[in-house]
Amino acid sequence: MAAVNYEIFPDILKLNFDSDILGLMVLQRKRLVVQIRKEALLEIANYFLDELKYRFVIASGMNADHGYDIIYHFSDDSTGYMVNLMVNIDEKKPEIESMANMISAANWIEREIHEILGVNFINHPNLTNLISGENWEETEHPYARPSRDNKKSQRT
Amino acid sequence: MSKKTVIPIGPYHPLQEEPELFKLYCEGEIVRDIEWETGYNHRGIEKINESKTFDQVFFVVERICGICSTSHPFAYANAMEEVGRVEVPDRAKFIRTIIGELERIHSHLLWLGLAGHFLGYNTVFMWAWKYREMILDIFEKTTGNRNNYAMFRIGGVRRDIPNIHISDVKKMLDAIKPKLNLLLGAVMDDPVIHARTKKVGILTKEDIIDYGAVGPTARASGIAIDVRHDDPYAAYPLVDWKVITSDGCDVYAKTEVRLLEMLESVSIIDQCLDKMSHTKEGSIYNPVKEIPAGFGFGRAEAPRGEVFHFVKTDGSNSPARHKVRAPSYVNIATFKKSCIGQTISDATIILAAVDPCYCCTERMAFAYDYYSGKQIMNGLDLIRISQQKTKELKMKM
Repeated sequence: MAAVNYEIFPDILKLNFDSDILGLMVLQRKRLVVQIRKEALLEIANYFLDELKYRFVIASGMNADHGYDIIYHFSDDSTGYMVNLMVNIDEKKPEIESMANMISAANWIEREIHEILGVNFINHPNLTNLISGENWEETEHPYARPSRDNKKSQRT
Repeated sequence: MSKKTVIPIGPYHPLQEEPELFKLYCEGEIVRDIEWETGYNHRGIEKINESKTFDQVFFVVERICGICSTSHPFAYANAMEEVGRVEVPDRAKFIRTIIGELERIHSHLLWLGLAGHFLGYNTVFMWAWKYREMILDIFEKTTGNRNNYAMFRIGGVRRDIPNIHISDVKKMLDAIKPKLNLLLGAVMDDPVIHARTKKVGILTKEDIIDYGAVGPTARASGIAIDVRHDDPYAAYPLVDWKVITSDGCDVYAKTEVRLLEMLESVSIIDQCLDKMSHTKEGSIYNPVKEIPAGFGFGRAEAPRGEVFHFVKTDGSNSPARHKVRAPSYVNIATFKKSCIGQTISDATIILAAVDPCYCCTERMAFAYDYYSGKQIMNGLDLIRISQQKTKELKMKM
């Protein structure tokens, strides 16, 4: 594993993926949040998993002002450094490329996010409900909140 | 075409008696494929927490799991202290570490007892659970509770362990050391346990990395990941200890890692008690007035592996989003690798080797013949065939 100097790490990242990075937030205790374009997710995730040998921890899906945010958490276990890739997904077209074909650990959490928020993961091998089984409507997404400017998406 | 049988294990799990459904697709005795279903006890805790204050969340996350009831508050406290940039007094760090390690010992003992029982070693079961009581006694002495200890708060702990109790706790801890060694010897020297667990349920390094498995499951495959070491928190950087690993990759290696970890935990607690006695009594938390908007990424090493809590705050007094990832969420996925190609009688111990942690509801499972629909075996039968295999092995030896 290449030793990375975390002082300059955000700059290296910018150098490699400048056009894909929308924002960078350096938090305390070895934490970095990187906002990226959703189209670049697989490429950047691959950089962390394959080249830097990070471990995929989990992804967190949440409501944002317009659509949804998904944060993919990666951990470098040799240093305890965590990189969090944040993508914004438009409410009108809630879809993103699946990571499950790249790393099996992403399989179930993508199913879960699909289920609770209604985000569609393209090319996922088995995008069925994970926790609510078959007795829950496919169109019901319990965690999704309607955004302020789109009343159509209001759910009961 | 050969005849295939589907054997559902669960939702009432044959080993842990908790709800989770595994469908084993078998050809004769051999497991060819496995499917997994969860959600039988989904309580929407992440959603509930959005309506609780930061302090109330501790009591909710403590009840996610009965066995590792401190690891969730631990990770949540780490996350909140990261957002709020809160420093924790040394004494609180030691107390947190002591509680975390006591929990590791009692959780591993519980697992060892169950694993012994399902291999047909009821003596191991009786011993392990008997000695687990000694740990629960220490909990009762130090926290006032045997299971949900309610010790954590943002900025420290709720209750002190007074210095006059330290010598008593040390005595209780000394009493448990020979018992742990006894169990270690009983398991490591038994040829039948070796025969039942070695080269069974293999998980290679590649499998672990692909499925993102953590904790003793990963460490038994030679991957030395341990949050206590990699991303140190609480008092772990202040004491001497080592990460236990094994290269066996099988069920035996997982047992070995857990047994040795218990001894390591005793040593950590011992050192914490010594160092704690030099800190100021009563200085157990720093008051926190408000939590700013931001992100917190909290991790803690539970008995089963890394617990991860992500908290998004918005400047109010409750989380805007709280994501919880328990270690079993990633560890259970490895069954897809470890079970396939193994026999049905080994499946129970392989599923148990990961120490899967669900929560408690009760349902009943039966195995049906894939074609006739006739019931052929239930959960108890699976345990029986596993115990039968051990018996046969003993007779041969």
